[in-house]
Amino acid sequence: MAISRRMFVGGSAAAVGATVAAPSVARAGGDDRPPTDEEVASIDQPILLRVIDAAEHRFELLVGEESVEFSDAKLTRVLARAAGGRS
Amino acid sequence: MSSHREAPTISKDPVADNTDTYAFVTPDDPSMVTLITNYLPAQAANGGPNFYEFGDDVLYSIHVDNDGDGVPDVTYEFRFTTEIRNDNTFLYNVGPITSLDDPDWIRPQFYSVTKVTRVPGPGKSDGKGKGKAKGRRRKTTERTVLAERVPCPPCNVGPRSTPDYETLAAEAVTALGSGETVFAGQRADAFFVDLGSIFDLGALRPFQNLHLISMAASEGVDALANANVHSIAIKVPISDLTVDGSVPTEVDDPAATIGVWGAASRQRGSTLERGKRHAVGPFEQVSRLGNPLVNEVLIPMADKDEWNGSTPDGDSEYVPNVARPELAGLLPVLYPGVFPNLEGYDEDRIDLLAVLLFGIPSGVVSGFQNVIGAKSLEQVLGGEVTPADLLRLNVAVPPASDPNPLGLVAGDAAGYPNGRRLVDDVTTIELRAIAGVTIPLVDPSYTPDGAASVIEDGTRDNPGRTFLPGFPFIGTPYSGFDAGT
Repeated sequence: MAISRRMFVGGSAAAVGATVAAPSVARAGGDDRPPTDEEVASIDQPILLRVIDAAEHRFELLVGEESVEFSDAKLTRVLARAAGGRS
Repeated sequence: MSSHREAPTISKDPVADNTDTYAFVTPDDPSMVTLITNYLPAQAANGGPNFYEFGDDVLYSIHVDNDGDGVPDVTYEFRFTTEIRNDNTFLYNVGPITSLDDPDWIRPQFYSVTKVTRVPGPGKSDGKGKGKAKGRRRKTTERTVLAERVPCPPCNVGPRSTPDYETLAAEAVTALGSGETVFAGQRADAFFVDLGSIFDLGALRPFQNLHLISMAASEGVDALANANVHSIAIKVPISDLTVDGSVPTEVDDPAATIGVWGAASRQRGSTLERGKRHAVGPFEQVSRLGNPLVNEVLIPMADKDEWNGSTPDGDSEYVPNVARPELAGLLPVLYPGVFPNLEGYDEDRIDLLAVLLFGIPSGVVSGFQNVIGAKSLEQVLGGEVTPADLLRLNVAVPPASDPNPLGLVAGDAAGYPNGRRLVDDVTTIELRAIAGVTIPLVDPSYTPDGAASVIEDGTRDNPGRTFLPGFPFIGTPYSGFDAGT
């Protein structure tokens, strides 16, 4: 059987062999610098909000392949009224 | 089946369903280990025009534990990307596909390979499993992209569309600059089992005259005789996987045994818009497979989904399911009078715990052991070994020149449960083990029932199942054109 060495067909060889940092959970947490225009433009896909503990106002945003945890009492009020049909 | 549709949730998600995992010292290059994980079970070869493909939204992983804690030390990740070369046809191909870059192939797939290595640090697993260690592991791993846009072969459509399929598929065998060789694409399922009989109240056709609801004995019927799967195969230098970077040659070398399992993960959230799904969030494991048939046969229905979402370092929770397997209690009921000794045995099944969760310590099988770290029986019994469902492979055992499908229980130490080869009849091996044939290894006072060493489902001798002489070894997929003929 012939075995070819078809590597990186038409692809980016630049990334091959590069060691990159592992993605970090809640990478955005604690990073207060203003987002760049490029970062803002990258927010072009759906983002999901998950309730971790409504009583503790704890939430989680699913963004890209990341998870960002945060707490927000005002959001609890908004969601509670929406869920109760009084939005 | 080994792990085909074995749990309620994953049975509805075939693209992520890890059906079988294989690990063996490469027969034509014993300095390498070949690891294969299969997905997309029970494919009808003629399933066009949307022929089977990997999920672009699934993270496929092959994990290796080399220090015995049930946490991956080396992981190979595979991510797929599908392209459409022609927006104006409903067809999979608009002419014969004669090369992997043939424009007549409308929907090619490519993949990336990333190696994830755990590095020493404070973030090792807390042993709780259930994926809780995932975040901590991430902080102590290094990720290296080994390749991008590696091509998959198309599915085996038929003689007009894929006229020289074997050559086409061989083009997709890709040697990486980092030393590994990879292949990902459709293959003939190597697993064999008589599903129709076994799931009809545990019947084994060759012995169903002895069944509680008796019928005339007959030959087994291989439910997967013409079924394809999608395989991810990687051939890796042994020195890349052992705990100390060595290539052990002595069976009792503490570095000689590695633990392997496959997995698939999906992002935690998804949205649906205009007919297309968009996945979002961190990846969550939805399927895993080390030893064959564990989730299928040993884990209760109510726990199967959770088992698929858990990690091997948390498998202590499932020790009771292995130590007191439900099937061992059913066999004497389904086959009255056939298993009297098994029926009377009321001890924990140390033999099954060793095979499936701990490894077989030195002294149990002459000249063999496959406990990671080469821990002794006393150390295993003393709780010094983490119970984990891993396919344990002692790489110091050379490949067999004439493999026995019954593996270690037939004296072939290169076969299951020392890793798993494509030829291994794991259904019969595990069936006989559960029936008690391996109890004397740890309890010499026990005499197995006569039936324990002969029962089988009768599907081993399928002349249509063939394997390749070289990597990726797993056979050419069945042709869609020939399906059902």
